[in-house]
Amino acid sequence: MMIKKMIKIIFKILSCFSILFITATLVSAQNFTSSPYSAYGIGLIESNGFSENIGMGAAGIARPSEGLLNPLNPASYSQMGSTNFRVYLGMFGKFSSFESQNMTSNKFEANLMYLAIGFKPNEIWGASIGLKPFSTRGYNVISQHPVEGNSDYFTSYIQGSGSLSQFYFTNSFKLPLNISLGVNVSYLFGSLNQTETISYSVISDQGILIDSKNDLRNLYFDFGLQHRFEVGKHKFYSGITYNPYQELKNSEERTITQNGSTIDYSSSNNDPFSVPAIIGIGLGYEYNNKILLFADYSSQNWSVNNYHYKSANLKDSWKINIGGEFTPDKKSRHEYWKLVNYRLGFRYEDSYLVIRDVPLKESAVSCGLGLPLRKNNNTLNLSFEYGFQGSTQNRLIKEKYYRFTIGFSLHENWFVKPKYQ
Amino acid sequence: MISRTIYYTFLFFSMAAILISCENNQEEIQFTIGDDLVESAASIIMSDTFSVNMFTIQLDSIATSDAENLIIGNYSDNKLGDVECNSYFRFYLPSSNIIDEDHIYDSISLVIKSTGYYYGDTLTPITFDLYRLFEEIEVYDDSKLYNNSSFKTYLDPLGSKTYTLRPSLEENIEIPLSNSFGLELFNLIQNDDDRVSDNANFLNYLKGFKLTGTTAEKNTVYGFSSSDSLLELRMYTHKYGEEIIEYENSFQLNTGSTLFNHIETNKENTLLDTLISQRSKIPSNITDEEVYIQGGTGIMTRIEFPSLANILNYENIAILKAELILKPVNKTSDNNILPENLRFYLTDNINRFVGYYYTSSVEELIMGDLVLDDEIYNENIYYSFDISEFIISELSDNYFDPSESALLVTLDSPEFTTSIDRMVFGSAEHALYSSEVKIYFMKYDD
Repeated sequence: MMIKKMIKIIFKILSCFSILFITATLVSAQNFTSSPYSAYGIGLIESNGFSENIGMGAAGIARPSEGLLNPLNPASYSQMGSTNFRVYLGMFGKFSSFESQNMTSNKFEANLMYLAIGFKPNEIWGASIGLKPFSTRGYNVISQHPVEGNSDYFTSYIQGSGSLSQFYFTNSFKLPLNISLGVNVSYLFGSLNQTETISYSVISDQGILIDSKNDLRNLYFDFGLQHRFEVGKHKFYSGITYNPYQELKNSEERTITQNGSTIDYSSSNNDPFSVPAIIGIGLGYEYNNKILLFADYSSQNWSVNNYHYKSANLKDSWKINIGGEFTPDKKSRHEYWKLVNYRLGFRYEDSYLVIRDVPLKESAVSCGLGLPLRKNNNTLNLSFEYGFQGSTQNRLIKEKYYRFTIGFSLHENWFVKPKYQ
Repeated sequence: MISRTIYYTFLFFSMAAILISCENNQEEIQFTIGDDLVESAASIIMSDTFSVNMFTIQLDSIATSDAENLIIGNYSDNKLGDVECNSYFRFYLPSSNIIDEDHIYDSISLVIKSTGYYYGDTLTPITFDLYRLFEEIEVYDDSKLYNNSSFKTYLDPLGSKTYTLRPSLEENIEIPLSNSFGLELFNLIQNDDDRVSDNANFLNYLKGFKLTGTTAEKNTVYGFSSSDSLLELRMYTHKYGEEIIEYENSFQLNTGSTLFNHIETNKENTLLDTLISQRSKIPSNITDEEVYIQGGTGIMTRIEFPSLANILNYENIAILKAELILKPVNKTSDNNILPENLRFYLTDNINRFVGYYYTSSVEELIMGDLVLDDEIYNENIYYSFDISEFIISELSDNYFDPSESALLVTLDSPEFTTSIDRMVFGSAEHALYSSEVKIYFMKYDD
């Protein structure tokens, strides 16, 4: 009996990892964005969280992984129910409208977003393994440059693509005094690419292509603490996350071709890319198992970064996330709508880029639903965000977007000791 | 348990696949956000400071056989010297012999037809002289005859005529020939003499002709047709029947390699008098910063690029295009129509043809009436040649010797062998019409 059980468990784990693996290859090659702001550094850094978090402003540093997997704090997993094995699958669709200098352009993109599993080996130890995007790059830009030596201009078409993904393994432990500690070990990997095509009327029959591929990778660590205490029907949560300053190995390959033949190839190890430290703090409140409120603040000191940008300056970034969730009656038997989680939130970020003296800011409102599926606390989580990034000042670009996320959050009862032998 | 998870997983991936397939870009968004937001890895540079050295050279000979046209006349000026043009040709027996015992000889003449081509002054009388060849026209192994080939003739001409051709018109000119010659030929044919029994014997008897044309002032050369029936040896006979019937007996022209133009040049008293062999080259500074091309005589322009080897020291560059710009000097030529195409050859240090390059075409900013008035300087007319392939391939082995890899420029065919048209280009140092080379580079970041 035990052997059969073991085989079943091993089979489940294997099938989960194979899904993870397939998704890893898909996710790491994809484009998630069209904003030229993603040309800088490691691209646009994704806001964290699964569909449940996104629906409430991506707030939840203080939130324990009770009833859901919460990736916003590595310390959250020790709070999982002990019989649970969770599989989380998420995808997104985003409709963006870009505006710059009285021109607009639209794009719809969709992709897989995250894949994770969570499990609880014992009473005090919870773990999660997953794959999610870390940052993305995508842009199409035309610019004109003067030819040196005469009064002509040539055109440069630059296309950026690529992303960095994060494959992580988090372990979280319950400590005395209602404190949880979490340690997250990730492997960040991916490549950020840029293809440039040069066009000039005098040399109209030649194709000149400059292809740059920047590979970034390294192990990455982050830590978290959570605390909770209850007074009657009130529960109070708090949490801290800390990502120390770390560097990513950075190697670059560049190929220049003229009419199809390579005229230059170079490959080098660049200076490592610095990812500055991040500190986050969060607070939460729950009433009577129905109402949840969370608020987060985090900040990252980008001004120490050594990456050199043309005409963009770096500054320290900060963001706030605020959200709430309401579930009328988690134990309702006959009224489905009472089982649904209703979510609402807001976030605001003052990012690390200042371009042409204009700081890049982003804000979004969100809402979401957690829809229970049959049995076992499986839920289908939908979230919807409406946000803005950038501005049209100084000939820059403002993006307005509508993003929805669909997450399947599946629970299995593993490690269940059968009641009857 | 497994099945439900797998079911939802499957559902999830199906939804994702559908969603992803809906992705679209509205005409591939492209932002023009100026050159300061996204880094470009390359820039383009145009340099027109590479030096160009130009020379005039003279080929030892050029093939002028199988000529498309005859050119006849003489022309002289103080820049390129004297040019004298004659033509050699021969005839076969008439294709069908109709001279029987009843025919009576009348006369014989050479009929030529002008093509309208001329070089020099018009409306000056030209005196044609037709000489009978003493020597056979002999073609050697390469089946060609050259502008410096010649064959001996009898001293006195068989016929002469002075005529004033009207410019650009096609006219027939009949040169009457000596009757002692004509009558002897007539009798041989009428009597079925062995000497005229077949073409081989006939050619032995009548080896061929040389036609010359002379103008008193040495100032014009004309073109004439070289096709059968437009260049005719015509014998007139008649027969008495019910009335007098007149006949024209036309001997068949032997076209091919035995029909050629002899073009002689004498450059004493010009600045080019040291061009004694094909290996010589006269730099432009000796000829007032001008270089020349002349059809018929084999005068060509040679172009060297002394500073190209510097490019081998440049790093992180690629040559995108190289453009050679040659400017015609506009005042000097009598024949002011610029040819549409010129031809290039790759050459070595002794002016041999190493490779055939390409033809080029004229480009101009202003075309229209070319210099009717000496005071109109059309500095904006130039020839533009794409010599990218030449430069890139000559530099590709990391070695470049400017005297070993040069270009020769000449007129296109058939003008180069059947006319004495000329081109005059200004060198890089010419005050008004300075030729140059423009090279476009791409420079990329390290």
